[in-house]
Amino acid sequence: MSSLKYYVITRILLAIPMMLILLTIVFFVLRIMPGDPVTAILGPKAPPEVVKQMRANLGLNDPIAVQYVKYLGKLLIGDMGRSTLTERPVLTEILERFPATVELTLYAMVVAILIGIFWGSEAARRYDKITDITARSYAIIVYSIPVFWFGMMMQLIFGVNLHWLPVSGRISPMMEPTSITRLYLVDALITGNWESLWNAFRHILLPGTTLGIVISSIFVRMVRGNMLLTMNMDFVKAARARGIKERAVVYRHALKNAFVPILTIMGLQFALLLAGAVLTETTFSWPGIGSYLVMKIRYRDFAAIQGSIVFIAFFIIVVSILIDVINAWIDPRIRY
Amino acid sequence: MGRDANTLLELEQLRVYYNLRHGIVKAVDGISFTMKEKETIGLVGESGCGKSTLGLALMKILPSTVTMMGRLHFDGEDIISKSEKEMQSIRGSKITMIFQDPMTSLNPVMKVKDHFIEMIRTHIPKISEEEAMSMAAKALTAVGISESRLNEYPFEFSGGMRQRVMIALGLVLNPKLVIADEPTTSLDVNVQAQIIELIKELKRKFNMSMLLITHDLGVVAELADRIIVMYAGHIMEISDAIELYESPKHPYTKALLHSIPNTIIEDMDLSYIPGSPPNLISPPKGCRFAPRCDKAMKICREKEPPLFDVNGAKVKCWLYGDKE
Amino acid sequence: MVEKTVTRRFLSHRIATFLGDLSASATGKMIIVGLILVLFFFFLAIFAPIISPFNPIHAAGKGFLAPNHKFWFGTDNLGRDMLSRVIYGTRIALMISFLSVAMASIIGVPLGLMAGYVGKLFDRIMTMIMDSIYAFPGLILAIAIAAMLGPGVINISIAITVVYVPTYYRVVRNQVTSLKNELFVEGARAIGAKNRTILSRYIFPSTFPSIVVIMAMNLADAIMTEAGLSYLGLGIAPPTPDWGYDLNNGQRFLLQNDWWMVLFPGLAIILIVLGFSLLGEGLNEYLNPNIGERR
Repeated sequence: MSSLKYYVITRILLAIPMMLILLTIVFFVLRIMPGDPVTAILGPKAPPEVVKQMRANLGLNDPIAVQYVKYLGKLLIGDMGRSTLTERPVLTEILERFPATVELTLYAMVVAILIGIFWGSEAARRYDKITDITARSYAIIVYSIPVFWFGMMMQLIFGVNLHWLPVSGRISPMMEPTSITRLYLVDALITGNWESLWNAFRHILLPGTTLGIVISSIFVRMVRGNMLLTMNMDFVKAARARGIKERAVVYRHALKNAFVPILTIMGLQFALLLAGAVLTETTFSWPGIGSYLVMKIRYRDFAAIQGSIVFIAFFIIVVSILIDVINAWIDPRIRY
Repeated sequence: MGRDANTLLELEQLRVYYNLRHGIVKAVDGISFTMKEKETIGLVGESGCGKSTLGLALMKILPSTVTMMGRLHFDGEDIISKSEKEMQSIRGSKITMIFQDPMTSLNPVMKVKDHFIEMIRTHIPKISEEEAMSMAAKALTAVGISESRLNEYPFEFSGGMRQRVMIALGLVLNPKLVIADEPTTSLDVNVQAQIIELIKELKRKFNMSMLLITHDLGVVAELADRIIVMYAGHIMEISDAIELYESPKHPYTKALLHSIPNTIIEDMDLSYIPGSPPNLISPPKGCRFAPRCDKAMKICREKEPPLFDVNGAKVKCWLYGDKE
Repeated sequence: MVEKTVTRRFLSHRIATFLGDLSASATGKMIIVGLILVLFFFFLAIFAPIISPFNPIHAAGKGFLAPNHKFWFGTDNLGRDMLSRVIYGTRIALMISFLSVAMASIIGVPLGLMAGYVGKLFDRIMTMIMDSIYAFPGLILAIAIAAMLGPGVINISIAITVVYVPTYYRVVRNQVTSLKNELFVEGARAIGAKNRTILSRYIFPSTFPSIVVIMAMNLADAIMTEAGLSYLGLGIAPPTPDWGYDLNNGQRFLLQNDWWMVLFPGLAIILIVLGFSLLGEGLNEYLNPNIGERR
C-alpha cells in the first residue's frame, strides 16, 4: 500500500497551487471590486473621519501588494481577523459552526448518492424503458427546483400542516449530546444517548432530505450516463457470458467501474452541494457556515465574510483531495 | 428429426432479428447446422455477416431489441424457450465464450482470482473458497500461467497473457461448448501463434467442442474440423476443413481464400472482393452474394438457391444445382 | 408531384412538417416543450402590463388573502396581487439571466479562443485561474460579489457573470486546442491565412454549437442563481417584483400556513428553468448526438 501513500502525498502537494489561486481570487474579488469594504461596512453616508479611521484599522492604506502578503501570512497561522460585530476571532466562530454544515452536507450526500446510484443504475439497466424515462424526467425536473422553495414546501407539509417534524434548528435546546465529534448524530450514537439521537435526527430530516433530493437529480443523470457507457464495455458482456447474475453484473462489475468517473464528478458537485447548503441552512435556520455567511453579509461584517469564503475554499480543496484518494483506492490503475 | 447420441448443437432455420427504429436488421436469417461432441467448427465470414450475432445468440446474450426464431437445441435442451435465469446457469458452466479483445474483457478493478471465484461460486454455490481457489489455480496452470499471479490485477498482464486468463476462465468449469469469437484477432502475430497452439493442446486435453468464429481463414485452417462460411446472414458453404481448402466450391469461398495472403492456393494472385456486403434491412432478392459475384447468372438475382449437396459438402449456389 | 408543390408553397405547412418530424423523437419533444415554456415566459414578460390584472407594486386589496376568484394567486402581506407580481417577476428574471449570459460569453469565449490558440504560458495561467473559479461554488462566489457591489440589476448581473465566464472559457479553449491541429486549419495556415482569419473564419464557427448549448443551460442556472441571491436579500431592491424576493418575503408567513405566497413564485422559477434546461438538453443531443447515448 506504499504506492497509495505516495499518491496521497503527491496529491496534497498538487493542491497547494490551487489553494493559492483561490485565496488570491477571494482576496482580489473582495478588494478590487468597485464596492469598497469600508463603504460596505459603514454605508455610503459615513463621516469621512470615521472612514479614514476604519481604513487604517483594516490596513487598507497599505499598497495592495503589502496587504496581499499580510493576508496570506496571517492565513498561514490561521488568523482570519476578528469579526467587526462580535469582536471574536473569525476562525473560532467558523469552527463552532462548521460541524453543523458537515453534518448537513454528509447527510444530504448520502441521500443523493443512494437515490443517484439506485435510479441511475436501474435506468441504465432498463435503457429507454419506463424506468429510464421516469429517471430522466426526475433528473431534469428536480434539477429545476430551487432548493429553498423545495425546503419551504417541505416545511409547509411536514411541519406546519402535519406537525410531524420540526422546521428549524439542529436540535432542541438542552438536548445536545456530550460533545465528541460535534456531529450530533454521531455523538449521540457513540454515547448511546437515544433521546438526543432521535431529536437530532428529526431535525436533520427535512433540511437534509431537501438538499439531498435536489442534488440527487445530478447524481441520477451522472450515474445513468456512466453506467450506460460501462454496460456497453466488453468485460460486462464477458461477465454475462460467464453466467454471472444480472444484478451482480450491474452492481458489482459495471457500477464499480463506473464509480471512478462518478466519484470524480461527485467531487465537482460538492461545490454545488455547499452552495445548496448555504440556501438550505438559511431556509431551515440551520446553524452552519452558510447561514453564518448570510447573516454576516446582512451585518456587513467584512472579516467574517472573507473568512468564511476562504474557509469554504479550503474545505472544497480538502474534499477534492479526499475524493481522489478514494478513487485511487478503488481503482488500482490510478495509483501505479 | 432424430437426435444422434453425440449431437451437441442443433440449429434449424435459426433467425436473429434486431428491431431498430428504421427497420429490422436480419443479422442471422435462417441458419441450419448440427455440431457433434468434441467437434470444432470454424465459422467464417466478413465482419457484419452475422457470425458474432450467431455466437451471442447461442448463449442468448443479446439486447432486448432482438427477436430469435427457429430451433436451437443445445445438449438436448431448447435454448430459445429458456428463461433468463435458466440461461444464467448454462452460461459459463456448459457454454462459455472467449472474446476478441482480452485487453477489455476482464474487469479492470477486480483481481484475476476474483474473476474465477465469482464465476465458480455462481455456478457451484456451496463450494468453499479454498476449493474454488484450487480450481482456479489448476485452470491457470493449464494455460501456462503461474498460479502465483492470481493475486494480480488484469492491467499487470500483457495482451497474450490476458487472453490466456480468459481461456482459463472459459475452461475452469469444464464446459461442453466453447465459443471463441475472434480469439486471436487483436493479438500480435507471434502471440497469435502461441494462443493457437494453446487452444490445440487444450482441445486435446479437455475433449471440448468449439465454435471458432473468425474472419481469418488461416486460423480456422489450423483448428477446425469443419468450416461454415457465412455471408449476409446466410450459410454459403459447409464443408470439411481440408476439403474446403483443397476445393472451395462457392464463388464467395473462393474469393475469401484468394483474399488472404499466405494462402494454401499458392499460384493465385492476392485479390479482393469488389463491392461491399448488402444492407441487412432490405437484402437483395435471390442469392445475397449475387451483386458481388463474378459468376452470377440471371437466376441468381431472382431466386434464392437452396443448399446443394456437392461431394459431401453443402453449397448454397446455383452453379451446383438444378435450376428447375 | 402535386403534393410537393403544395408543401413548397405554404410555409406554415413546411413548418408543420418540420415540427412533426421533430416531435417524433424524444430529443425533438424536449426541444419543443422547452421552446413552448420559454416563449410563454417571454410573452408574459413583454405583455406584463396588459396581462396583469393589478399593479404589482401597490396594494390591490386586503393583505394575506388566500387565492380566490378576484386574486387567483392570493395577495401578499401588503395586499399586493401575487399573480401580477409573478407575471412582472418574469421581466427581472429574464433581464438578469440574459444580461449575465451575454456578458459571460462575451468575456469567456474570446479568452478561450485566445488561450486555446496561443497556448503556452498565457494558456496555462488562464486555465489555472479559470479552473479554480470553476471549482468554487458559483452561488457563494456570486454572494460575495453581490455583497460587495450592493443590489441592482447590473450589479447582480456582474456577480452572475463572473461565475459563468469559466464555463465558456473551458469549453471553447478545449475545442480550440483540439481543432487547431485539424487538417482544415492546417490547410488555411498553409495558404497563408492570418491568425485572426483562422480564428474567426475557421475555428470559431466550429465551437458555435457547444456555445449555444451552454448558453441555454446557463440561462437556466442564471435564473436559479438570481433567485437564490434575491432570496438571500442580495438581489433587486424592493418593491420591484422579483420571485426570489417574494419567496424570502413569503417565508416570514409560512408558519401561519400562507402557502400561496411561496408556492406560485416557486412554480414560476421551476417552469422557466425547466424550459431552458429542456431546450439546452434537447439542443445538446440534437447538435452533439453522440454524447451520453449508446449506439
